Amino acid sequence: MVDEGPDRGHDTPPLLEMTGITKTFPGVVALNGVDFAVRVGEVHGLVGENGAGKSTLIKVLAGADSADHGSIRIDGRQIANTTPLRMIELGIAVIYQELMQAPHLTVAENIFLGRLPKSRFGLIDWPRLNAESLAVMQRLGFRVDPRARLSQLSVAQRQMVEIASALSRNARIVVLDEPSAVLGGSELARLFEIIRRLAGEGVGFIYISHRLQEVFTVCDRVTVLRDGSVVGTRPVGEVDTQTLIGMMVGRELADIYPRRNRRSGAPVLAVVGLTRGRTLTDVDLEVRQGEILGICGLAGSGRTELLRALIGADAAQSRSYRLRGRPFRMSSPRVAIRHGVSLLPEDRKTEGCFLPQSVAFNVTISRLDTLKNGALLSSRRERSIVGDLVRRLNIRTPAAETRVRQLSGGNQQKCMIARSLNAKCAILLIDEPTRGVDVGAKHEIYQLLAHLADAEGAAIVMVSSELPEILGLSDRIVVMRDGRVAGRFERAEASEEALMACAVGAREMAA
Amino acid sequence: MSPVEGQSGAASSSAGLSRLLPRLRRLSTLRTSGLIWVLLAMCIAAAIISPAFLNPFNVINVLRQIALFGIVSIGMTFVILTAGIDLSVGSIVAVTAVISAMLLDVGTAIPLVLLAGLVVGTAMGSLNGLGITLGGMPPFIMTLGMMVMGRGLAMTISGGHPIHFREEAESFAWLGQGHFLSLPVPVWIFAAVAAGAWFILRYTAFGRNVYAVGSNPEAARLSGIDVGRTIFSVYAISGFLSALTALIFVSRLTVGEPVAGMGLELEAIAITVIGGTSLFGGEGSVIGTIVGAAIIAVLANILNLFGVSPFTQQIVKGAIIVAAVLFEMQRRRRSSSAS
Amino acid sequence: MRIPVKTLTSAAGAALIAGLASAAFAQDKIPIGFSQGTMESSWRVNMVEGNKKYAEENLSDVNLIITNGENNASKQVSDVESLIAQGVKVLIISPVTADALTPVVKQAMGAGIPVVTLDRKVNTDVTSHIGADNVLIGKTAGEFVCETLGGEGNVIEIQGTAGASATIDRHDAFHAVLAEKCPGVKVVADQVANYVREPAIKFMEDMLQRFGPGEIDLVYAHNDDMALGAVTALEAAGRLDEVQVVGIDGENAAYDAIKDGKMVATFTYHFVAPEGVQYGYKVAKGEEIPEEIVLPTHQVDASNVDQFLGKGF
Repeated sequence: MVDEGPDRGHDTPPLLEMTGITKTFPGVVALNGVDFAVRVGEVHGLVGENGAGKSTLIKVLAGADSADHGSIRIDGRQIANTTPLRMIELGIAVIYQELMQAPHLTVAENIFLGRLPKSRFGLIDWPRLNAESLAVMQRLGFRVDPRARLSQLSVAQRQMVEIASALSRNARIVVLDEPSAVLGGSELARLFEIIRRLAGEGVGFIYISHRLQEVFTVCDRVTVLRDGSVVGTRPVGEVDTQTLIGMMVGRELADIYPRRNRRSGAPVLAVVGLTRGRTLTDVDLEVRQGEILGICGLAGSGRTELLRALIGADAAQSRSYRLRGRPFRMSSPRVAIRHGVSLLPEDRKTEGCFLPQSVAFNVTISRLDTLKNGALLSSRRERSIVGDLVRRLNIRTPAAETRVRQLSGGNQQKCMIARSLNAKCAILLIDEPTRGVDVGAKHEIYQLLAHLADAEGAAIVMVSSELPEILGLSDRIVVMRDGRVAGRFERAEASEEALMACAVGAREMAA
Repeated sequence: MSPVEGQSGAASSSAGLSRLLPRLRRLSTLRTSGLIWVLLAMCIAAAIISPAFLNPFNVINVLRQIALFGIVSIGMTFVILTAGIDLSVGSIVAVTAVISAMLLDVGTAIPLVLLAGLVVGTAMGSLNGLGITLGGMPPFIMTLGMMVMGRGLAMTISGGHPIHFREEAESFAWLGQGHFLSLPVPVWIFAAVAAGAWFILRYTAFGRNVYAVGSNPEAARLSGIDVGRTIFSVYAISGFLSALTALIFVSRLTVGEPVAGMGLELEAIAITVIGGTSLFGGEGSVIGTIVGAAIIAVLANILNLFGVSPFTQQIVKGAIIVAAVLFEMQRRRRSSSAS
Repeated sequence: MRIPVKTLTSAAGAALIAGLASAAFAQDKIPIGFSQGTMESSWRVNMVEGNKKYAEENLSDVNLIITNGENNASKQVSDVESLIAQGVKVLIISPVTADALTPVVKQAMGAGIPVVTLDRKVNTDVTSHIGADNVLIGKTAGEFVCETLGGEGNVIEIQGTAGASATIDRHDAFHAVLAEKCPGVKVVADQVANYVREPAIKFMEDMLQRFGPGEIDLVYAHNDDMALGAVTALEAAGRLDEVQVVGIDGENAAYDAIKDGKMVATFTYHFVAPEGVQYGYKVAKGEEIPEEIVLPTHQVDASNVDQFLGKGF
């Protein structure tokens, strides 16, 4: 935990001070008199459910939007005209979740994108470009070949490049928007190191994350937003997860993870020796009726590939594949769904939802013959089936015709689950069930998954990067590392440390 | 029975959400309603300035024009809905025209000629489909190749000359030149094609699959849709409708011209796009395409009635296409940013 | 959502109205339809312009409605249907191809609208056809070629739009004369270039590759545009002095070429203006005109080109 540092900046003006920020859009008040300040060298966490106003606040800070009321002060000086260019010049840098980079250009070009140093004749000064890139990276304590193409780097490294780019602009306030969404354990640790190092030099950070443990790890203070207003700003030492969640949601959530009535039956899916090129090697896996099997591991350990191979989305070989006890050839997702196995992909937006289509469309698309009246689809049947599922899963949407694009992440995820249920799939493979989902909806999804397993006998294989989630829901846990099974645990014998250790390879656990 | 009953939650993420209401909001009409206003405005303006516009002969003329380009545009709609494109429709028309004319000239029975023509067009469209699904070729390239090859094929078979057929095949003229209940036969054919297409897109699983594949092919695959079969089918449909158009053309002109259908693909694409179908796939409707065809036909008619030079007409038409697409993009931007 | 649409349309509508109000007043005059098949060549443009100018200057009670078929038979048929729907009293038409336009012309005649065809014919009875005699041109060209080549030689023929009566006549008559009078002259290659220069150049370039020096004696092009295209290709290849080029139409550029020795002959082809609208007007007024009006044609070669310089188009 970082010391508050009473000798840092209490008498000098704060690095950043946003006062009374109000912003309304037609029909909705996005920010309501928000006061938010960051001190020199402070790492300030910003948390809140989806729609609480975090992105709007950052957009106002970055100059992308202008507030209706309120002021922004940097080093005590009020900023009159906030345009994106001006805010960058003043030292504000925002690192979004979707990295704004040019994958075909080199690392150095990306760091200095738009500001490539020129030689006398107006041509690019490559030696200087590479040298300055190395200098910036050194400041970060991170190094790759500046001439390497960005697409060759891992996501974690690309994120570092983005931070380097911000530094090269002499950023004084860096906003990190869900940085850990794409990072695994050790990479995250490195990121925190870098943040602390830079904070020590006086750079202020705004750290936005849904993963509250991270906020506790790296932040000095934390501000909670709810419905556009600040609920409170506290030093991290004075709060705990429960309190924070309570502030975010407006009520105390006694139990985040539902009580399970664990009762497992016969194996419904069993695979032996699953192999796919170099991404999966000799994986044995089995999931039983009424069971939730959690799969964890570092990014790149093969978790997503495992699910995709199980459903036939990617070609893979296995010594044996049995579905409900009988040998089966899983040749394509189409075949899988017809036999009751469905996949909720890792990236909802690009692989799962049909964003421009309606909720009804998205929910029914995997199985349309339940809607059929003869040869044609019946709107009446659709309305009734979709209405049922929407009610059952508590999907919050103005109408069944609303486009899925307009729903929040949590409701989009519920649509995906509804799709599997409509297709009568009793074996659900879910990749990151609560990614991009706010706390309230997370809770609902956990309840739902628990209910499906316990009351309806579904078998759920769940991949997640959030160990608490894995521990909260799973009956059994499989840890992946480098495409192999590194360890298996019963719920009772598992702990975050044990799982992480296994994922990282510190200790091999008996299979 | 719901496990989440009683957990109303804060629901703060979307202020003021209501429960599900079984309201029938017909999305396609919403999107195209703007275009229908444009069309109505054009018609009213034309009628005010020139009473000749409302002359029954003129109206029938305009309807006929809509039908002639509309049939192939509906095929193009299917294709563009899957985020594809079919540049070969004009050449498919040419090959079908030439082959049907040759068959008529040797005295083949008309029903057989019709069947043969439709088979030829569907086969060419199917080749497009195979190249794109099995061969993995981008639709632009595959149909471009078919466009060039098809034109060459039509030229080769016909020796570059229009193929005429003997007088006995007079009854074939009914298809393109005849009238039924005082409306030209092509108009009826178009109505049937449009109705059929509308039904398919709205009320069949295949129709849904088309929209799904266009919206997000990977999600479609993971949802269990046979993406390959869906894509193949839309190109076959486009080929079929191109062949149908060719038969009507041949009947109208009483010759099978190897130069038939030149530039037809651009007309069809323009009509489809003006009608609100997105080139990126997943959005569009038959009604939109009909309105698009009507806008183009009425525009040409108005410009003709006012004696505007044919060269100027082209400028206006091009400007309308750009304007219509700009308009549609604005609307889309506004609706997505409202979330 | 609706407001911007209406603003847009009323703005567009106002522009349309403002721009074309004058045209609307033309409703009181006699409507005469003029359906041109294509405007791709200067000859055709001159046809339209010549008739239009004459009507504007001399026929104040006529509203001449001009349409362009854009070299597309299907479009021209639609153009004619449109003209019929507008209630034209006479239809003047130069069809892209004969067969394709026949049914709609039949329809017009059947509806009581007199039809006058210009330059190209259709395969059904019309009120009158006006044009130079393409059969005569083809024949004379054939005889000229026989004479110039001394009864022996290789000829490249560049044809006009396939299926147009002019093309058919210029081709058939030419070949008939060759077959009869000088079978030693052979057409070794021919290609359709639609009366347009660019395809003619391409074709000629290909022929120069296919046939080596001395293997081509003469080029017979169905119009001057294409002939001049052949000249361009020959000059570029440096083989113009061994090949003679014959065209048809009577363009000024062709006369100049003959004077400079680059072409050997052309045959004037009247572009039926202002005869087209002149006779059309007579028919509209109920006068009788002959069924076939042949316009004179002249052979222009080195011997008499001076008289014609600058008098073409």
